[in-house]
Amino acid sequence: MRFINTGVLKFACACAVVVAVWMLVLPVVGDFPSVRQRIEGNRAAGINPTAVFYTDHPAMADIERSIAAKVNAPTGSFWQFSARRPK
Amino acid sequence: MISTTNESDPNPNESTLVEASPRRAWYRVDDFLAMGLAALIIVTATVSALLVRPPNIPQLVQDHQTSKVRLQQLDPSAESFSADRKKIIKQQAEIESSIATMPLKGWLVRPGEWKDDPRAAFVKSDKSIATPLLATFGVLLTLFAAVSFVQGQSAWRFALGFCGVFGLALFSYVLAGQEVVKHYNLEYALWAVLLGLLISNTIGTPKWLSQATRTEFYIKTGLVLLGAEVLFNKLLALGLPGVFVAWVVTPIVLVSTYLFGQYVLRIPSKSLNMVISADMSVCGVSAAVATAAACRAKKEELSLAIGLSLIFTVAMMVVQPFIVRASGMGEVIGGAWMGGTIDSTGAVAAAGELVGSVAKDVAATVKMIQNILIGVIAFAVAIYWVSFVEPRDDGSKPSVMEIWHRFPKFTLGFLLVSLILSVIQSQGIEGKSLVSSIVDGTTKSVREWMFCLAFVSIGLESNFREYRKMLASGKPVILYVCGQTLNLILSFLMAWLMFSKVFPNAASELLAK
Repeated sequence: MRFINTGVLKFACACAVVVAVWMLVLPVVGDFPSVRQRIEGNRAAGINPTAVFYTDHPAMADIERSIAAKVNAPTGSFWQFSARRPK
Repeated sequence: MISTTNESDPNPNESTLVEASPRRAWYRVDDFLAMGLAALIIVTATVSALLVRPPNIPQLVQDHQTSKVRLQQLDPSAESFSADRKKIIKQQAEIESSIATMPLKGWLVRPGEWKDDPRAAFVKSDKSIATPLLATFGVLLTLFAAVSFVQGQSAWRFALGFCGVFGLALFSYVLAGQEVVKHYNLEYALWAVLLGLLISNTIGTPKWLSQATRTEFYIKTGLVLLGAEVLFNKLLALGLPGVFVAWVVTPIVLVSTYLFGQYVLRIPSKSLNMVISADMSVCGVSAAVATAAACRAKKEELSLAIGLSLIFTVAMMVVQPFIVRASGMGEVIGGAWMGGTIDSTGAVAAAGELVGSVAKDVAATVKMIQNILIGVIAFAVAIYWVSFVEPRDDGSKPSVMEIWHRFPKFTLGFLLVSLILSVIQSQGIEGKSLVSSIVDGTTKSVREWMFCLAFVSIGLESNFREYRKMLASGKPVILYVCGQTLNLILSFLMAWLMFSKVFPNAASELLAK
């Protein structure tokens, strides 16, 4: 009985900590200029920092198109080996 | 009555992530059911996307082809070159999104981002996502309850437990959606495991909840669906430099780290060694999940490896951009270096953005190429494990039949889905758009939910004491630090070699506006 009460108490304490951190601490931290700048920068660039796979990035398709246009540019410059580099 | 455990439940508290397929009717085996379920989801996504395709497809395809030709004909020396190129790329994006219809996307959702009011997580584009969330819950419940029924378990008991597991997964998404947590890369996987651990190590996991802790099945189904995102056509997205940074360095680091763990650190668990080596050298959570399933790692080993990776990722995504800027290594080499070394796919782009937009593009592309490697790695690890690592009773070499019996067959489904979707993707703009419809419109969301449900289940079935035991020697941390150091050195050398010596024009081409 005593063990169960300890477990419930630990669980309740952990829940209280979660609520306090997520509802009180993190919103304040989010207003720090450096943190805010990072958040806004990621949003503007279409970055999902918690992406598990490349498909989770909202901006990945645009990045692929942009890179492909440069890699496959008509000049073919991207693929030139150093030995063939024009002086 | 409800809280009693179902005696027919196959290994409800098994210690390894993926058990060797037990000898029972094939249609009751997890691997085949996971492949069947994933196939059903992919076929449904395909049919629904094809049914609502716009009628003017031939015209859109023609327009796309014309824009490609115009892009090739642009004069690089013209003053308007950069603006014209951007304009054409934008047009192509619009055409592709017109062809890629996603009728199910709005019905398969997860909570979004919020700052100080968690209710904001349930609103997207000024619309409540309560109904789509209920639909998501309904779809997943129906699919998994049907699987439980096929496996001879009580679908009702599973349904009751699933309500709890889904609720915890939902809550972990809400915790991960807080903007500070999200933008510092503390992914849902971490919160899902911790929530489960909190319950199992304080009040204990109730029996009614444990009916739905199907870690193995969620992971296998999620991985087969992940195969739809492993598209081999993307291998040359950054030319040969990308291949060398992502596909040459990564396996070298993986094998070296594993051998270091085995022969220098002498880590007692080979599977823990392999999961940490893979998640550090390839791409964090997704690689850890795929490798852990392939080598039958323990649940605690997977969550420990992910925890280690997330902690170091947070540090690396802050420190590496600073090093790139301070050292003057440039956006291209710096981006490739970060893309090849920071574990988490999301953190790579975030770190790249701190250096510049070109660094972000290069870093994200290198990581994308590395992401594709997990198909090959998971398959190779599965073969290596069943052939050389798993011991036989008499110590002899296993026969081909025994290897086949032990082989985690869902990895074949994973590879098959990957190959089929890669072939479809290569069929011009129509194929590319169809794959986008399938992945972005359906499988991606379901895969995310599967992994989240799996991580909650891992937490609910784990014990803090196991983690203490594994961390007591400090060897997992030493392995990670040593492996990552090698990764940092080799990735930098390869990026420098490729972009400044072998393909010296590549960097300037990428830096062009």
